[in-house]
Amino acid sequence: MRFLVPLVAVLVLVLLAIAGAGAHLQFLLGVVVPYAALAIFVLGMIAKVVGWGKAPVPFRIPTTCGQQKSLPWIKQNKIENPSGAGGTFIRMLLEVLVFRTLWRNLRTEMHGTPDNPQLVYKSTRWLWLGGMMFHWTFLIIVIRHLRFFFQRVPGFVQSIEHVDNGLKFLTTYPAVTNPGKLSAALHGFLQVGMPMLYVTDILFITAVTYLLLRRIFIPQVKYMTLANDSFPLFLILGIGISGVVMRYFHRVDVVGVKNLAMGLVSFHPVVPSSVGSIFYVHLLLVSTLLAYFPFSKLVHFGGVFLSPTRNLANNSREVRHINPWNYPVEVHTYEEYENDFRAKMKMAGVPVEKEED
Amino acid sequence: MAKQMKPNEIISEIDYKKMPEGSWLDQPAEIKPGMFCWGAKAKSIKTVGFPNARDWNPSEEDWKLPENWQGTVLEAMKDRLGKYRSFKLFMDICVRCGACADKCHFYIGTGDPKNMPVMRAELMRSVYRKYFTTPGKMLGKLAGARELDIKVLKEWWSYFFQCTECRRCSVFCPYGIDHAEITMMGREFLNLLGLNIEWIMGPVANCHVKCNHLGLEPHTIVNNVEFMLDDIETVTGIRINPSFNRKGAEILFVTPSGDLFADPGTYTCMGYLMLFHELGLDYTWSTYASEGGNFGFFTTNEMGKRLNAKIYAEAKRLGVKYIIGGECGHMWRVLSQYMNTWNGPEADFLEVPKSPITGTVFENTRGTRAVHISEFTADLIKHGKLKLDPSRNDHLKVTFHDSCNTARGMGLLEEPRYVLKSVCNNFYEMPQHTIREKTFCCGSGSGLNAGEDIDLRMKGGLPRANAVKHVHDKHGVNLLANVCAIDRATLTTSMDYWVPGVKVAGLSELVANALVMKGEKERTTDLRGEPLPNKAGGDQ
Amino acid sequence: MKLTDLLAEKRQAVLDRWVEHIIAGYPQETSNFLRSQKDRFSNPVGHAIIEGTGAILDGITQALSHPGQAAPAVSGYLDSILRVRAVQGFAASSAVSFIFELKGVARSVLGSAAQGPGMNAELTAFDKEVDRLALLSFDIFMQCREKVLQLKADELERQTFRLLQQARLIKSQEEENKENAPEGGKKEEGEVTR
Ligand code: HEM
Ligand code: SF4
Ligand code: SF4
Repeated sequence: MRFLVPLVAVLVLVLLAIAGAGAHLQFLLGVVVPYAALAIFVLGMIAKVVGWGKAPVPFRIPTTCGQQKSLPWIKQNKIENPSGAGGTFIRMLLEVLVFRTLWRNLRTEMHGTPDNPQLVYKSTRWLWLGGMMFHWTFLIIVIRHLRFFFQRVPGFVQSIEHVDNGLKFLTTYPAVTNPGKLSAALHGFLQVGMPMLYVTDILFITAVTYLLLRRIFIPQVKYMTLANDSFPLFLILGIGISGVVMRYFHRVDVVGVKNLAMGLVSFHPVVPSSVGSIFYVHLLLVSTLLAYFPFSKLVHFGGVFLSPTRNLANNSREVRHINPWNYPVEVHTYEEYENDFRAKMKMAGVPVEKEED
Repeated sequence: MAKQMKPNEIISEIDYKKMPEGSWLDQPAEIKPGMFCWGAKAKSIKTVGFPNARDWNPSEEDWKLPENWQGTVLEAMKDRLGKYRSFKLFMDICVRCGACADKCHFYIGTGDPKNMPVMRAELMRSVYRKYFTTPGKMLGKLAGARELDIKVLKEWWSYFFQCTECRRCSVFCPYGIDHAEITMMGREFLNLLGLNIEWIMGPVANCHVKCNHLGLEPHTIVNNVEFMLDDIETVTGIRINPSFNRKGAEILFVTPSGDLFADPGTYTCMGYLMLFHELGLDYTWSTYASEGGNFGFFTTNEMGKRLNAKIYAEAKRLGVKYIIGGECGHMWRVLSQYMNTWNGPEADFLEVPKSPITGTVFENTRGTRAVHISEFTADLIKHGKLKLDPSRNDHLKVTFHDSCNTARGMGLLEEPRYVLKSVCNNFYEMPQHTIREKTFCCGSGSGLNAGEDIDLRMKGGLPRANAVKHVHDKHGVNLLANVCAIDRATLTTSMDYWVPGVKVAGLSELVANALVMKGEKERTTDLRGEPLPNKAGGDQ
Repeated sequence: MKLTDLLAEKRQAVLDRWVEHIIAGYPQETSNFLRSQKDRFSNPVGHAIIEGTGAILDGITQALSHPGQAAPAVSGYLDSILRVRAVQGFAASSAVSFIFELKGVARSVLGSAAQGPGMNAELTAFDKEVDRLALLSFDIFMQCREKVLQLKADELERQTFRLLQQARLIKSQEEENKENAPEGGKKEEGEVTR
C-alpha cells in the first residue's frame, strides 16, 4: 500500500502523458496543465505560509543547544543558543544551507579491550549526505533549467553548468597526465556519442534512490513511512529518470522545448510540433509535483524558516515575549490562602496581613 | 544504519512477519501494568475546576468520557492550531526522515516503535490529517489519516504519558520539531475529557490551594525547615535563622517543594540555607510561593499560568527587588521561557537583579528578574567571595547530569560545572553525546515520577544510567550531581536499580559541604552525617 | 574434536544465531535497532545483549574445558541482560528462556560435528552448565523484580522522610499528609535516616 499505490500512481501518470502526446493533446499537456499546476503551487503555498503566519507564536521556545548568555566571563554559544538576531540568522542559515542538525547525528563506539576501553566517536551522517546531495543537486538542476526560460542564458547559469561538467574535467585530466588505460576508457565511455555529462544528474538519481531505499530497508523508517512519503520520492525519481533519458538516450528537440518554455513565461504559449512524448512525461510529472507540493510534507521547504524552536533568539529572560492571546486566569490569591491558614501561620510565627478573620 | 547488512540479513529484514502494511494506524495501544499511572481522582480534578471530574481507572474498559468527546477534542484542536504556530507547523512539515527516531530515551529503553518521537506525533498527525487537510479527508488511510475513535484516544493517553517533554528529539530534528510541544497539546486535549493522571493532578490540586505540590501547610514548611536547621547546627555548630513571608526583604527565594521534604533534596535545601546565611543575604522564603516547580505545566497551558502567577504576586506583595530560584529543571523551563510571557507585566515592579555581594548585574535576567542559584553562586565563586575547601568532598568522584529543561530550554551548562569544579576535586564528564544539550532524561520527568509506572521509568532511565555506569566503571564515580529536584528523587531510584553505589546530590549540597563558614566548628561529617574524608595534611 | 574446540571454532556463528534468537523477541523495528546501532550509549539494551552473550558463552566453554576449577563469574553479564528484561514486561519464564535457547542454537550451528563419537557426554555437560546458568538467571531475575518493588517503597519513604520525622516527634500536629506515608512508621528513626 505505502509503496505500491504511489508507484502505480506515478506509472499511470507516465502512461497518461504518453497516451496524451499520442492523442495530440499537446496543448493540454504542454500549456493547460503546467499553468494550472503552477497556479495551484503558487496559490497553495501562499495559503499555507499565510496560514502558518496567522497562527501566532505564543511562547519563545527555542531549543537551546549550547551555553546561554549569562555571566560575562562565561562563553556563550552564540549560534546554538543565540540571544540576538545575528546568531539566530546564522543558526537558520546553517540549518537551511548545510543541514546543520543532521550533521549532529553522532554515535560512539567502544574500542580497545574490556580492561582498557576506548571510546571512539563516529558519526552517522548518511542521511545528512543523502539529504544534502539530494537538495543541492535538485537546486542546481532547477537553476540549470533556467536556460530554457531566458532568451540569453544568464551568466550564473552558464557558470553552474560549467562547474557541473567537472566530471569531464576529471576524466580528461588524468587521461592527459597519466594516460592510463582505465581513465582513457572512462573518458571514452563518457564522451562517445553523448552530450556533456552533468555530475549533478548522477548524484541526484543516486541520492533519490538512496532516500527511497532507506524507506524500504530500514525497518524503523519503513514503519513510519506513509504513501505521503514514497509518492514524492517516486515522482521525483520519475522526473529525474525521464530527464536523464531525454538528455542522454532519447534526445528531444531542445529548440522546440525552449520555444514552449519561452511561450509559457511570456504568456504567448506555443505548442511546438514533435518534441517527443518523453518530454510530456517529464512535464506532466513536474506539473504533478508542483500541484501536489502545497498539500504535502514538501511544504517543509517554507516551514523550515518559520520553526519557532529554531528561528527565535533565546532572550525571553531579557525581553518579555508577548503572547497576543494571553488572557487573565483564575488564581488562588494570597488573601484566600491566608484566610485558609491564618491560625496555622500565626502559630508558626509566619507574619500575616490580617490578624483576625 | 551505518552497518553493512549482509544479504541474508536484508532478506530477513523485509520478510513480512510482524508488521502488516500500514499497520500502526490500526494497532491499539496496550495499557500494561507498570507502564501507566493511575487516573486522576474526581477530587483533584474538581479542585482546580477541570471538566469531567470523576474517579476512573485506565485499565478498565470504560473511561467514563463526557458526551460528544470527539467534538470537544476536535474543537480544541482547531482552536490550538490557530493559537500555536509550533503546533500547526509541526503537524505539517515533518518529512518522516527518522533522524529523531532513536534519540528518545523511551524508545531506547522500551523498544516500542510508537515511542519513536516521530510516531508519537504521528498519533496526533493522523487525526489532524483526517479532519484538517484535504488529502486526508479525501484519501483517508492511504494518506495516513484516521478517525478519532476511542482506540485512538486511548493510544494518545498511553503515549502522551510516555513522553517526558525532554526535547531531546528536537535537538536532532532538521526542523527542530519538538515533540514536547505535541505532547503538551495532547495532554491539553486529554485534560478536557478529565483524562489526566493522579500523580500530576494531585500535586496540581495541592499546589492550587496549599501552594505546593505536596500540600505542605505553612506551619509544616516552617517545621521542616526547623529540622534542617537542627541538622545544620549539628554539622557546623551554627544556628541559622531564616525568615518566612518577610516584607521588605531584598530577595524572594523560590525552590521546588521537593527540596523541603524529600531526601536527598533536603540536603540541597540545607545548602541554600547555609550559603545564604554565610553571605548574610537579605532574603525571605515564602509559604505562598512555596513551589518553584509547576505540575500545572504538565496539564494545560492555562493551569501552568495559574500556578506560576503566585511567584510574581508574592514578590509584589512582599516588596522584594528580585527573585532567586533554586535547583529545578522544569521550573526553569517555565521561569525562562514562559513566566514573563504569562504573568510578566507583574515583573515591572521588580528591579534588575544585582548581586549584593559582588555587585554583578545579571543582565540576562533583566526581563524576568529571576536569577538561577547556579548563576548566582558561580558569580560569587568567580569573585572569590566564598571560602571553599573542596577537599571535604574528596571522598566523592562526581559526574554531572544536565537536566533536560535547563539544558535544552535555557542553556545553563557551564555555570553549574564551574561551581562543581570549584567545590570538588574529582570531576568526570559522562560521554560527550549524553550530556549538555544531548543529555538523556532521568526517565521520570513531566510528572511521570509515580510509583505505579516504575517499569516505564526504569526503562526510560536506562540510557542515562548506562552513561553513569560507564564513568562509574571507568573512574569510580560515586556521585551524580544535578540541579533538579525531580532528578534528585528519581535518579536516586534509577541509580539504585542500574548502578548501585552511585548517590545523587544537588549542587548546592556539595557547595555547602565545601563552604567554610564563619564561626563554624571543625566539621567531622558532611550534611548527610557521613564522616568527612581524612584530612591528614591539615587545613589549607 | 572436542566440543569445547568446536564451540571455540564456531564461536561467532553461535553468538550471531543466539543474538538473533534473543532479539527476535522484540518488534521488528526494534530488533533492527538493537542489532545495528553499535553505540553502547544510544543502544544500551542491544549492547548488554551482545556483550553479555559473548561472555556467557566463553564462560561456559571455560567451565567445560577446566571442569575442576571454579566456573568463571558470568553473573554480572547475566545481570546486565536480565536487569533490562525485568522492567520490560517479560514473565520470568520468558525472561530467562534465552539461556535455554543456547542449547538448540549450539546444536544447529555445530550440526553433524556435534554428533561425533563421544560427543554425547560432552553435550550433556554442556546442557548441565546451561541449566545451571538458567537457574542462576532465574534468581537474578527475581532479585531484580524484588528490587523494583523495593524501589517504590524506598522512594515513598524518601519522599516523606521529613514528614514522618515530624509526625513522630510533634504529636500535637494533625497530619493531613499521612495518607502519603507508607503503612505506619515501622522503622526506627536511625534506620530511616540511612
Ligand atoms: C529551504 C529549502 C529546503 C530545506 C532546508 C530542506 C530540508 C530538508 C531536510 C533537512 C530533509 C530531511 C533529510 C532528507 O530526507 O533529505 C528534507 C527532506 C526532503 N525534502 Fe527538503 N528541504 C528544502 C526544500 C525542498 C524542496 C524544494 C523539495 C522539492 C521537492 C524538497 C523535497 C524533499 C523531500 C522529498 C524530502 C524527503 C526525503 C525522504 O523522503 O527521505 N525539499 N528536506
Ligand atoms: S527528525 Fe523531524 S522531520 Fe525527521 S522524522 Fe523526526 S520529527 Fe519528522
Ligand atoms: S520530548 Fe523527549 S520523551 Fe518526548 S518524544 Fe521527544 S525525546 Fe521522547
